[in-house]
Amino acid sequence: MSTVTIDDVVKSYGDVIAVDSLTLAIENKEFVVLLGPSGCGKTTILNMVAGLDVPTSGHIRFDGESVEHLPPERRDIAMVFQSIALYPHKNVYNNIAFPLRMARVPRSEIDSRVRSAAALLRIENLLDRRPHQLSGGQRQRAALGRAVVRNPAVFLFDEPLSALDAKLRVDMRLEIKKLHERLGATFVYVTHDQVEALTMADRIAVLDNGRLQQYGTPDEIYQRPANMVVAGFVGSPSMNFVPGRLDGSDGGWRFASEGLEVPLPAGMREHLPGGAGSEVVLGIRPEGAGLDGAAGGTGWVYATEPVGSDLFVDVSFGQPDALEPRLFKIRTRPDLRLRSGQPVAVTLPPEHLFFFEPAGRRIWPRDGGA
Amino acid sequence: MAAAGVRATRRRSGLSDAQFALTIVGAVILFNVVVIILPLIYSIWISLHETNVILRREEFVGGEHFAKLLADPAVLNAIGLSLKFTAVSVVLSLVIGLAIALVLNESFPGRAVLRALVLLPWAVSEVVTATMWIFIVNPTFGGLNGILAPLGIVSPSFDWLSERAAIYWVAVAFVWHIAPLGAFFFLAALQTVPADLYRAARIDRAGAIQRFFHITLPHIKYVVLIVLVVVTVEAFRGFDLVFAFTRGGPGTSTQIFPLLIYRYTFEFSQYGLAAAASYLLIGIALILTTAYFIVLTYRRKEVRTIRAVAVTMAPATAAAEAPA
Repeated sequence: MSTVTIDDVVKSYGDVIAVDSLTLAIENKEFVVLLGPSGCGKTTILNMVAGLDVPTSGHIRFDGESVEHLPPERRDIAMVFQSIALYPHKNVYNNIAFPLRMARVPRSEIDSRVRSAAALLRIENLLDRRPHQLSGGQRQRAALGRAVVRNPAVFLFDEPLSALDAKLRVDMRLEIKKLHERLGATFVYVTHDQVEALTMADRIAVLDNGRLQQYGTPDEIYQRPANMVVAGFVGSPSMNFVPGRLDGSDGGWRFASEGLEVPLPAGMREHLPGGAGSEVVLGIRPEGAGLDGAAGGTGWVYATEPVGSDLFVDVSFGQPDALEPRLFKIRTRPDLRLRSGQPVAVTLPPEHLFFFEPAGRRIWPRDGGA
Repeated sequence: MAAAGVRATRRRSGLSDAQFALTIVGAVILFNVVVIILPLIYSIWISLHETNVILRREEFVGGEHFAKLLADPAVLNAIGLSLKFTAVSVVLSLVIGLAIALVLNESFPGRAVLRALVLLPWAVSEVVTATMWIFIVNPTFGGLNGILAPLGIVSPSFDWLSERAAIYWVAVAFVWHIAPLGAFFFLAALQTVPADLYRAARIDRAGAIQRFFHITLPHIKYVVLIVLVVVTVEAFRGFDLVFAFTRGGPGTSTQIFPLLIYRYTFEFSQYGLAAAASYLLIGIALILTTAYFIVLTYRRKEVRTIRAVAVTMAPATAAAEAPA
């Protein structure tokens, strides 16, 4: 068992700060995903947890003990790489056996452990093949086998699925999730794929520019994004953002933007930091907004994107012939018949609305409340 | 300009692609036939004849020269010296070349400059290398004695090139010249080893030495093989450096096989014997390199093609330079 604590860790390369004062507590047996765009520092964090990289300052603790200056071999970890990194000159059996041989495990025990790891990952029939004779998914399983056989307290994954094709990625996602359940070890998993994060994680740490943006359950991340970075990164397609102003001139409070006016939900007014005229950003997910094709509307259909189960409609506000139209993506029923240029009315249910400060921080919905 | 000119020529001459290809390949083949193949065949003919230079007469003697060579203690001694010289050169240049490459593969300030500098000894001609080493080991004015004698480590005018030691000094000079080439090959190979493999191995608790034997060495195995073959062939047929360094002396203690062939040709005018000896040299080099391939690629399919290429190349290069 092992908890992993990242305590005020900074990692800089010269003038470039890759990780900036990051603090993150990972519970024993928890599955934590570090999520963020490329270059956000997530792999650097993983490398520091692995011992492949040393923090510039701060501590990394396993079960409360500082390990930041211990080499990888003295930490109880296994790691799966994006490049898979199976030893090309060894067959699958010897790849899986390698960490045990390095740890001088007795020969008879090595054999039984390799075979049970192979059984767990259903690669018993591939043990005498070499990596170049395996398919992508089989290689990934072999790499998982090499990690599992160690029986480590902490598993580290560095974008292990990004080299696989889409269908295989979905299968392996499930497999890694089940593996976590079966092994009962702590998993730290790095990805830039928010679907992977939402489907597998107990908790997600969203990172951007080396800074922790939010740390919470997938539900919290999705329902209560801390800021526009998180809101924009998690969810597919991305949340729609509309910059505008608060308007309270004639009694009723409204959000006003070019071509769009939205009455504000009840109880919101007293929680807004600024008064009338203050700038806010309205956010709504494509699945939160609705579309009324029949009614004469506030926008125009710019394009439609059918994906089988759903129909995504890009609605344009403002001038219909604008060079860079302001687009608003809305998820609707696939049977809706719409043509380009058709006026439509967008419905924005108050319970699905988000408001952010122009700087990014979420101001609505409030934490805790509905 | 050149490409446009070629195209214009082809348009004028109206050659098809295949005709054009045959023309340029044919020219190269013709050149090689004249420069390599014909002398090679002629040297076989010479090796089977007794040539009398004064009477300008040639008499067919069949395999007599080969029999004579194999029975001659001077020849066996020269072959033995050549094998010793080659063995020392191969082992030292592999170890030193690999060590240099491993160091240069690490990142440190000034690495680029050092990488360029390390290749310099190979660029220096063998005759210049020999001259430099003469200055180093000479008993009276040599640099080695100049440093070691004042420190009391050796007596003044200590003779490094004794009959017993000379062959090793010649090999050391040759290693100084050839090891950088090996390092160059090794460095190129080392740079193709994926960094993630080393990271994975560190996670798997492999130490530096284990990482070398489990990842680095298997990865550069075929480059090691190529360097092995190149250095062996170079050492076994090497002439310039030893000739310039010791002329085969003191006595015959560094008279390696190519030097003996040289003497047969230019001192004794025994052309038939010299040609036969050249083929003996090629034969031994061929056996050595084939043995490497068999040992190192045993039960491996991927390298069949490399083996075939190297085996056909080795005698050609050896023959081209062996005096005939």
